[in-house]
Amino acid sequence: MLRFLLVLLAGLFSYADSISVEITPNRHAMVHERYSLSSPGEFVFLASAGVRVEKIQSAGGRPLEISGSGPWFTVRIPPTHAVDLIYEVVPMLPLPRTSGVPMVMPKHAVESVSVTITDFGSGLSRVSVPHLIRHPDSKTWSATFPAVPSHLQLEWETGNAPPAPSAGPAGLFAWNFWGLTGVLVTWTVAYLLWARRQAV
Amino acid sequence: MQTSALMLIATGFYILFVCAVGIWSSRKAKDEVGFLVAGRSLGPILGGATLMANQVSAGTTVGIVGFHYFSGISFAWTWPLTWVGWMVAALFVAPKMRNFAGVTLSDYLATRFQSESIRVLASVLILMGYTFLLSAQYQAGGLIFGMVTAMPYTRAVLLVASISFLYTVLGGMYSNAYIGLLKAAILITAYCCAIPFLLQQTGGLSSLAGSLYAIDPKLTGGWFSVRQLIALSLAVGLGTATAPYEITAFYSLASQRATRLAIGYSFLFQAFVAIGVLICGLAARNLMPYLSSPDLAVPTLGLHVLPPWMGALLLLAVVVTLTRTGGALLLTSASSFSHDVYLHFLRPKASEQEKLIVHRVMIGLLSLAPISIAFAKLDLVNFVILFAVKFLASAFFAPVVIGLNWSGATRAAATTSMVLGPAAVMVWARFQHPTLLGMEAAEAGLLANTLSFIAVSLAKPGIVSGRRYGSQLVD
Repeated sequence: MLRFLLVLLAGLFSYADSISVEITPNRHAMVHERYSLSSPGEFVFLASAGVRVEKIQSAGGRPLEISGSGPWFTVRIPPTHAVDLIYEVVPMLPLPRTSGVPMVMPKHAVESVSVTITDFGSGLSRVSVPHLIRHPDSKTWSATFPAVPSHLQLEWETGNAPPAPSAGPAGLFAWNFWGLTGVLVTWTVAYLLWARRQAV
Repeated sequence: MQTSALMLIATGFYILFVCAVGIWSSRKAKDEVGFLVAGRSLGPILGGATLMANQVSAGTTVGIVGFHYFSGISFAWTWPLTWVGWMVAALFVAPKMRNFAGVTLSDYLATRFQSESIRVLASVLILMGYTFLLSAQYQAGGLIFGMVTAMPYTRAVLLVASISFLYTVLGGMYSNAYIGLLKAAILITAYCCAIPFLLQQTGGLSSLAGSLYAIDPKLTGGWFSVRQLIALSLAVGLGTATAPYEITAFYSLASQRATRLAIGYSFLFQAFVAIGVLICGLAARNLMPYLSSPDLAVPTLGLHVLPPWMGALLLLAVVVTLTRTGGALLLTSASSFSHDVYLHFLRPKASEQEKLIVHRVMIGLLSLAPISIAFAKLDLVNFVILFAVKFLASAFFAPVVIGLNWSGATRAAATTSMVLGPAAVMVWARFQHPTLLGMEAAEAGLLANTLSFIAVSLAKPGIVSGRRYGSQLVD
């Protein structure tokens, strides 16, 4: 009996990690995230071009502190056994044709997370990334993922083109990437020319 | 239709194709040379696909994507560094091996050093190394199928092992060559489709780079030091130049000309794969930054990020990759026992028909040990592969590369280096942080292998018994 009660209590106070996103008619995203935490940890999100993350607060209405200069931002969450947070993602342009909705995510692996998107009259036509299943009512998309996606990419049939993403500092990336590509291409072409000449 | 359903359908077609290729190839493989080295008939493009398909394993399509996921771009420099090993093969190994026209690596070693004990030692080392390499292929397959189709891990391992077994036991090297060409085609198609989509979803190359830099500046710069990259690449590259299954592929090529050109075509195929796995790893880090294991990056992209048909294609590419590499490993390790030990010592006068039966039975028997190791899940896939590659490179580098090009090399030197090299790798692997004497295991293994080979050759030049035949090979 005692064991049954303990299991029941544990069930009542534990959260299955889940993200619920509601799209409003003006294409704002109202996000509600719930995580059970074995230890307190930092939360982060990756800024998307053309949207702002606003009003991040706990479910009780307490505003949460954001720090960072982008593209990654840190959200400080008081130590607790579970996190229940709400925020709004606001497009910078009215009625964008595409929108990347950033997800505030714990800075560690989760077992799995279920994501549900519900459209309340915005005419959302597609969720291109990550891959979600569209329900027969055509207003709801859902899926379970092995990790929290950094953003949800939403698409509408009509609307304004979003601004191009601005590239921040990237260190030695360009040198590494284009240098590597150049070496691979040059090497292959030079070798094949040499090998053909050897063969003649 | 969902990715997992598409992937299962695609895998079903792949199994049918594999059976068809296996049955067709079995008609061509009428004797031992046909079965083990495709009758020495492969042209440059088929040969290039075979060489690439041997090298690009689960360690690449799953493991290296995972490496890029957690360490960023710097690991990609191992490709050109590894190609140094391919150049060694092109200049000093492949043409001579093709002219020697053996069947296994042990054939060359036994002939060059005129020692049957070296034949046995080489066969044992190949069996040890390839058992672990095979287990890594099966482990990766188990992870992929388990995640994509919710199939139990053990059943998924058995499925992957069965596909490799099926076409190898039927068609031997012919099957491996044709499945290798299919592998090249599917890999290139999958990456050509996935890269534009992933770059679009991450905001383009600059935006992707910016987000990674913000996570950790080392992701876009030097997570691995130049020294680490060189050490890792030395192991893989020099291991490739002397890898038993690549030596078998060199034997299978139609001519010296085909051998050199095949290495060039393999560069072409590898270049596509290099960029493909790099973008997949970096994009996965951007899109799903906190996966519980880097090895999950590819299944996550396939299942949850790419559109279903594209995801199924990427996952099929992984399945083809690991089953194809599994087939090559299986053929080489089986022949190292059936050809070099059983048939050579116990049934030297066996008929061609009996030889084929023995090879096929051995392929079946040698499938079992890697399966049981894969059930135990040793480590991250790429760590298992890297260890096995270091182990084998440290056994065969000097006896093959120097032995083929220096007539002063002796039997005692070959034996000593084939024991000391792998032993050094095993000792060094025990001391990872900090590494013993500041050296990585691959460096220690290759150094022990090379120095002992040269030192013993110089110290005991009088015991060369194979100089005449060895000199012919060297010249």
